[in-house]
Amino acid sequence: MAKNEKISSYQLTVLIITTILGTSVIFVPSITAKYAEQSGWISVLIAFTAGVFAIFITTILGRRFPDQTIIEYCGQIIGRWPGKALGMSYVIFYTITGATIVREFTALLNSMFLPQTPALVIAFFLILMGAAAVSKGLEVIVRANEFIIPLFLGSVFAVILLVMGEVDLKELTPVAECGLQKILLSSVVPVGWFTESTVLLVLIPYLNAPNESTRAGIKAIAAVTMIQIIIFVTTVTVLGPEITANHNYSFLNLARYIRIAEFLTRVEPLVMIAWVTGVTIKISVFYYVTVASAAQVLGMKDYRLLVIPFGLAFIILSLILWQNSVQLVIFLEQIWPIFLAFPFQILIPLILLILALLRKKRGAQSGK
Amino acid sequence: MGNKAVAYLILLTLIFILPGCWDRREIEELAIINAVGVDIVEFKGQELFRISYIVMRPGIVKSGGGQAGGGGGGGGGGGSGSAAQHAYYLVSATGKTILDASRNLSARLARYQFVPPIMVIIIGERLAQKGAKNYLDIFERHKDFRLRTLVFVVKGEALDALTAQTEFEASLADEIRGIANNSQPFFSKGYQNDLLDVLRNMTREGKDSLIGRLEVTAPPENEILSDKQKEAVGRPEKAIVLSGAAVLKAGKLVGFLTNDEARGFLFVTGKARRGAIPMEQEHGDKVSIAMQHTKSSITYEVKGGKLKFKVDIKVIGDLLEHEGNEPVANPEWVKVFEKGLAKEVKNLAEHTIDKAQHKFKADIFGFGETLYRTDPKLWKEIKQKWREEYYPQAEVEVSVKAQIRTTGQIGNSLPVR
Repeated sequence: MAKNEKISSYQLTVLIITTILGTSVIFVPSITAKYAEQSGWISVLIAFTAGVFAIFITTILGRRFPDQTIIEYCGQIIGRWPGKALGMSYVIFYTITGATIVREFTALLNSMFLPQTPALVIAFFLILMGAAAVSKGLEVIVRANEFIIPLFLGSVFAVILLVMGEVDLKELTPVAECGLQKILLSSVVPVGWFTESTVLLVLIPYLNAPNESTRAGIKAIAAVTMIQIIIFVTTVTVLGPEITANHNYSFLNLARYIRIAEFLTRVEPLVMIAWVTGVTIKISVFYYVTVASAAQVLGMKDYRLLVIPFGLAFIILSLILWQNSVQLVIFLEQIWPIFLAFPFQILIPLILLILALLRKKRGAQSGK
Repeated sequence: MGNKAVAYLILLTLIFILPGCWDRREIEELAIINAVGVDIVEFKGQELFRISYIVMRPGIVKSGGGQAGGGGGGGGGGGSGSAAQHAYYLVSATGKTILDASRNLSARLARYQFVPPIMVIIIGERLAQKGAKNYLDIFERHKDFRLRTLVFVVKGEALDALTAQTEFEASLADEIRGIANNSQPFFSKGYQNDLLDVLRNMTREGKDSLIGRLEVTAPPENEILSDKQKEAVGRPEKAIVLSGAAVLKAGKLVGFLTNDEARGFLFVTGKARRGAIPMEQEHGDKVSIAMQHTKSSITYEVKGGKLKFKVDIKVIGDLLEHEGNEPVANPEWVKVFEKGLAKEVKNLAEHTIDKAQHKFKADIFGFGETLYRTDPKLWKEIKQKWREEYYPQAEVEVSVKAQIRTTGQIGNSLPVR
């Protein structure tokens, strides 16, 4: 397959930042404060190590096959038909993850901003944007992200700056009092987010310098860790660990808490900017990865034929997979990170890497 | 050419879609809620919730709102003229739950109930006694309410408090917020906090909540003024006053603090701002100290198996009033005043601590929280018995450092010759 689209290392770094933060930005404080209370930032640090580990696995594996995606080279490692099956299961994993992103997006908008608007309509417009971006190609997504990331991070930091006056650092004490077990328990979901960088398994062939991918990835993971810790610390020190853990969208609540001098209030549209821009990029990335993988599994030359069917799949699955917000939360906190993210983002790449090393499998090195 | 036409057509259709068809709200369709009062009332042997709103009707504010003392007419009976002349008016309805009550209200409210970002929640005494925690749930859960909303408890019924007339602002909610935000620091005897603070203290181990308390009283001037005078200046019959605070233990109202006790609480927690402290001297002179700044810190130690908390308070104030002939502008006298101030503050603080510890057994100061933050292991051992055993028996030592910063524009009082 011709991979004539090329993305630079810097573009890759910022793409991973938005991909991970896109949805997690709103959930990180409540999910990490759930068990670890005020020590949730330690859980984020634990997730950081997992994220770095995942980057190493993915990029070392990917660099052995610099011109191929995991779908193409897994057949070389474990055999043709098992490879096809694995490729198919990756397509399913990415489809479900994409549907989850769509559902998170519609769930937040429905419960906080647009209660009367049907979820179908919100999902449709999100997928419409995603479909447009995906059919224009990876380069368009990447460039759009370069434009969007200042908006995204700017909104997040504006909220944090505006709420600075309410911070009470006393809320962070006592540190790690809840015990290592609970801190680890709280890091389960963040580990799932941080290892989302494994979309690289499909993106590596599009890099113009695959050798720099490890560094670019680690830079991104470090930045995400820093931002998530800042978000966590601000939310917990303003709202307190109990209220933070008790609210589904605690970062949004943080923004809603802002009131400066009686007039600077209602700044939650800032969170909305971050949410809409971030999720648009995130869904585009997962959308692209899904259709590109599916096209390769099916042996199609052009993935564009698959854009509409998969778009419909995302919308329909996002509506039918979960009956209510309680199921969604259980899925996000217990099922996705343990039964989907862990095997597909850490375990399988790790096994493939070990097998590739043992069997000395290596893809054809490109001219460069 | 064709492409361009299609693009324009798409853009045109977007105009209809982008404003958000389903969740659009026109301002003429809104009844903007300024204050919410929640009560539990007895109705035909059934316990029902009653929700009361002070509602603002946009569009009418301009034409009708300018009447002198206009404000919340209606409910109190004898609101003159038709309701449509008032920009703000009072409505209430009952229901089996709070949400039910508010939706039942829609049967007679011609507009969509809109909760603006700035509003006030008032809880009736009975509801608070039954368990404010359970009934505040809707304000945390419903997307329209914010954690920043001010919450008050009122002695008696919330609806009754909402019938108070305003003295300064057009709406009662603005009046309450004005008193809480602008005036409370100068008064430093009442307390006000937002939903976040109330909920957080309720759910936190080792801390109980204190909520600001409102009272409806006839303004004292009314006793002296004749009816004609009252009419001329537009006196309200009932005004709203910030008065003391309500103590909640385990999410339920257990009692009230008086003004002075609320001040004691403010000293212990370092929240007192700029109130006046009057002091009488032994020889009959009177002085008032205006506080400028207070600070406090709570530490603890374990002595012989008994818990001992130390409250260190620092007060800085100005001498702004002196009735008498003593030459106060000398270091000896300043020392005397500083000592007196320290003693006064200590008395206030100790009295409040005593009442909270022994009468209510409610840890409104967060002594337990201090323990948790500094010695989590010890806290884990004793937290089960904290409220009933350790907290009431803990020894609390209050020490106050007072400092007089200035004697104002003059030194000694003008001598009379």
